[in-house]
Amino acid sequence: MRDGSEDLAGAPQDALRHLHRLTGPQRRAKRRGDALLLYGVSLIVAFWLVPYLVDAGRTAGTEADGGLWVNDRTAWLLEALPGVLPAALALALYGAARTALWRGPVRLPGEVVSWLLPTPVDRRRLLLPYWWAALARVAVATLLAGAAAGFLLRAMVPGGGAAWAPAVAAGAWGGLLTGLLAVAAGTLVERYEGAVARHGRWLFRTAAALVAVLGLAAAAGAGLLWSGPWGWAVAPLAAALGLGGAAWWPLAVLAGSAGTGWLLLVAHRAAGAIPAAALRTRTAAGSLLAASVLTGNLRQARAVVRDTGRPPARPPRLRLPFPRRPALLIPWRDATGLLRAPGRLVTAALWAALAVLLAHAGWPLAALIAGYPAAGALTEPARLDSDDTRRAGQLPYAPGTLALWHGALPVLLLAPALAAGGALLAVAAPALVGAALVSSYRGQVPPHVMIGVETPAGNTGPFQTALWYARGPLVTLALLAPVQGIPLWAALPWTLAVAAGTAGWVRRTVRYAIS
Amino acid sequence: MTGPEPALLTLREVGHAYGETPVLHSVSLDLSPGECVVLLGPNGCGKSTLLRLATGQLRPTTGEVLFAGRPVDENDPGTRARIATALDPTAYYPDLTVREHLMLIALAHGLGEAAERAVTDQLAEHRLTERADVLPRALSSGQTQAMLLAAALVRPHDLLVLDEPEQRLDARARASLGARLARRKRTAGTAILLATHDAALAAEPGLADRLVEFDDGAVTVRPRAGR
Repeated sequence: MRDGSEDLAGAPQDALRHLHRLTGPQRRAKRRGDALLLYGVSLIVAFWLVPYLVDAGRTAGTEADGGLWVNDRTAWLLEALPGVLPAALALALYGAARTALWRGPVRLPGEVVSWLLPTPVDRRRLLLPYWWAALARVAVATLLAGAAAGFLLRAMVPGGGAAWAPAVAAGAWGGLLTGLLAVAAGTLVERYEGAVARHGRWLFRTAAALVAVLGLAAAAGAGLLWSGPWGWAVAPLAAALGLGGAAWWPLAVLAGSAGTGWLLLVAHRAAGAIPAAALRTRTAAGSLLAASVLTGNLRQARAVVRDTGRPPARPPRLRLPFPRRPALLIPWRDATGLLRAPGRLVTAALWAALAVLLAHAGWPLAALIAGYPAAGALTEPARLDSDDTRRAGQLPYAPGTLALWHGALPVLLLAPALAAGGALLAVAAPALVGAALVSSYRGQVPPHVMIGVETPAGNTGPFQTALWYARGPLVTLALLAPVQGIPLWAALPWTLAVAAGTAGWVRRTVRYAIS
Repeated sequence: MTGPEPALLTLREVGHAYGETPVLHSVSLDLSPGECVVLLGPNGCGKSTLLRLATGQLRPTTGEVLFAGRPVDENDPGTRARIATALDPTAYYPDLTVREHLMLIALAHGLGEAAERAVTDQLAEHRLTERADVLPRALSSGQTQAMLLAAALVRPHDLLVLDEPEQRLDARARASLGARLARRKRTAGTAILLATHDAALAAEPGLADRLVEFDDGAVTVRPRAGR
């Protein structure tokens, strides 16, 4: 029997070389695509950003151009910069770590994940090129963004006292540092996916609390240049702009560079050991997200971002007693679902509160408009049915009937909440819930709507798509608008008729969606 | 060949194609109450398609499918009250626990006071009692399959339609699945339409009355050996 270890010693390298040869045409095609994308982005930057940069350079430090670069707002920005910018960078780093839960800096094509990962190839040799590519992309983007920010901030300094080159260099360094830290953090999240899944809840909550504290401190006018790496990245820029609190900026450069360098070394080592499961998850999420965005299925896109990398589900603590009456069954189901997604209840309460405030302020139409998102938040259980109609496959209800049953609890919750804004607002609750159900069951946008037609003003596709998405609330609110602000006895029949009409519309929408 | 009683489910010269690709042609099959027909065939032969045509999830390109003498409509409440299915591995609510999912189905079908007992029995039968109060996300794929089977069996039904129910089940659950289905068929008079790759399940004593074998879109119906 062969001892495979000697014979296969060179196999992984041979496999990778063979793969490199086979994927040559695809890599060249991808490079052409990337070059085209870069060309497009460069054109956009050139058309939009360069004029601003030229104008900033020309009128720097003066109140020319109507005070575009030197005015009260820019003065406030410069004064608040030692607090606001570090808080913003801390938020960006938090966002990078959270994004790594479903995206990760290291993302492999689907075919590599499916076919190559299970083979005994050298994992480090396979993954590190992708890591370096991600690092390079982020480094270039954040360096350029930081340099542009430094340039624009220098233009806001009254009297033009600061030099250009130090401000641009400091901005570039700060941007680069932030970008590198973001990639390092994302790599560690991806590498230690298991630990993040087990402890991620308190980790991210702690991080979020820290970011919130930084934000509050910044709002209170505190300087945060020495609060952590997010502040060290800003210290040289603050010094270059002549702002206070940055006298020890060389220390910040030293600490930031050393810390980031060390973290990058750790991340580099970790990148080669990212588990296959983590890579598979992110590749699948990336594909699904791209498909969702291309087909206009924003709900699915949100679900991908929300559900990928979620910690294991705990047994729910809140359980409602089972109903004894059949009529209470679907409201019970919806109540259970809403209690398990308390964010929806909070969203509904906030929008309802806004609607009430607007009604009291004498803006009945605005109150009505604010009532719609409240209804939308409460019809989340209906969306679970519309996302996958097979979920209700064992229930002995026609789909249209089930959809209307999903409106019962939202009406029962919304009407009393809106009653604080007046009876007219309360009686609009059934119609608003109906509009929300139409939106819930609308399904995927039809291709012909997305494609649109060419007109002298451009393609109508985006406008048609937006109208298609919003048709439920648009039509319902347009029908309810004429009776706002008139006595209840006059408005009630029409409002109830609109509610009945939306109920029929819900049935029709469900029938169309499942056909 | 027809069963001894009037047919509950009738497929008459049924054909189906996905776009330009024909999958089934001229399939005729009757299923009577208390009968079990097992579909056998390689992957891609049309077993799942036939099951979905039988439940009304798909409309046939040619021919007709009748349930209790009327064209089958999966959205008709009467049909949904009488046909139980376990065809889709993701057909559950992600925000309800296993117990809540089964109770919702049992109560919706009018079990009333008996719902709790029925759910407890199904949880025990499918070895889900200790996982009854977790969300589906916390279940293994085998436990999810068990939950879907329990959901189909917890409610009253005249016809049970299963697509490879043995998939992802552990050996012990697989071994007992056939006996449980045979017992249900015997005691409740349930008609069963079952697609499987498991020869042991197809050969379970007291389960299959007839076997349907697929060959290039056409089917051959024969009684199970020994019947």
